[in-house]
Amino acid sequence: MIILWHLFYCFARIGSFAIGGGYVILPLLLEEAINQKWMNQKQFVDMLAVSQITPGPIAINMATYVGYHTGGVLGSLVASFAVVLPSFTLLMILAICFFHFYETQFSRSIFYGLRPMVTGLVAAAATQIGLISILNAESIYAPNLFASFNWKAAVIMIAAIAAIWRWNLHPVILVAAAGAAGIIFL
Amino acid sequence: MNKYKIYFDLFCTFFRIGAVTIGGGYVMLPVIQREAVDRHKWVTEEEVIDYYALAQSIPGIIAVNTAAMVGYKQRKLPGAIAASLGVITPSIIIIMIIAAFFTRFADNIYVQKAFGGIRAAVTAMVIMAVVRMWSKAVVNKTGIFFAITGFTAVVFFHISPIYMIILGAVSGIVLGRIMLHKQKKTEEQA
Repeated sequence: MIILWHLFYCFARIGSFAIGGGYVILPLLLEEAINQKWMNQKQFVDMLAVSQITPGPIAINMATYVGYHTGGVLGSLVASFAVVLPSFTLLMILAICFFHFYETQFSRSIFYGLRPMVTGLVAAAATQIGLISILNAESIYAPNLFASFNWKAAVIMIAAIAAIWRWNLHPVILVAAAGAAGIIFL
Repeated sequence: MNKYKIYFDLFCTFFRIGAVTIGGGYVMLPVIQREAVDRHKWVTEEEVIDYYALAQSIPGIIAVNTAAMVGYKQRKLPGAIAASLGVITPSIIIIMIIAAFFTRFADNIYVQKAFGGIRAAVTAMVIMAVVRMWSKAVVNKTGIFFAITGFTAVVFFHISPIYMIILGAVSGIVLGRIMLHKQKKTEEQA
């Protein structure tokens, strides 16, 4: 029961602060997953991969996955509802009161600072994900940061960047190709 | 029975949308437009774009927020609940099944190797997402300053992203006020 409350609290908090576009949920989830010891960084990136190639919003996928691993079926339901609840409540209040409150100078100036900040935060998450995937290091302060540098993984990453850049390759195809490359080369 | 058909329709339509769109909010908008605007005529083209803008400017998941607004337009709160539940249910079911089975294969050597490659590809995807966000969001020197601040705080000082989000929002409001003030002054002078 305590676990469920805790899951609810953590995911409601993530849902409340996930604002500013795109992958903003990523740095929030990563921090929480590590702090709460839900999973290690490797498992987090694996989970992210699963979320990328299965249907539905990535945040819901991640909430369900984490919820299942910490609290079973009930845990996954609690986590998924908790991540949606804050914005749903706010949205209903806005819809019932008045709509166009948000299209004011006020909201525009919020995003003036928020959007670039969130870009930096997602870049930070990308760095942490890269550290674990390529260098097998948990943090930038790990001793012997380049000791277990995996150059084959680095090549796969660069090839994947090129493929997205050039052909805008679909995530499912990309993950399938990278998985095959991993089995053959790693 | 007919009274409840609309809830069933909302749930099923958004269930279908949730079940077929891989890759999150940005992939979902065209599908929502096709289903809710063209097929069911629940909302107009302009309305769905307004909803999408609103969904992006509040916290939470863009696709769920948009679904809730379409549901709300039809049947107020119950409609919003039906549409939101519809859009999240497929993910919950699919991920639960994967989570239940994945742990059995996780130790397999080939699965391990495959995920070694997949992790590299996921890194590439997130890097490219950052590149796209950067080109849209970081448009001036202030933007570059904010982005570097957020990055440095998390990577080098392990500060919670939540604090940086609050900081970004607050300083945005303050800077907005200052800019408005300056604008007024120059207008007065002119």
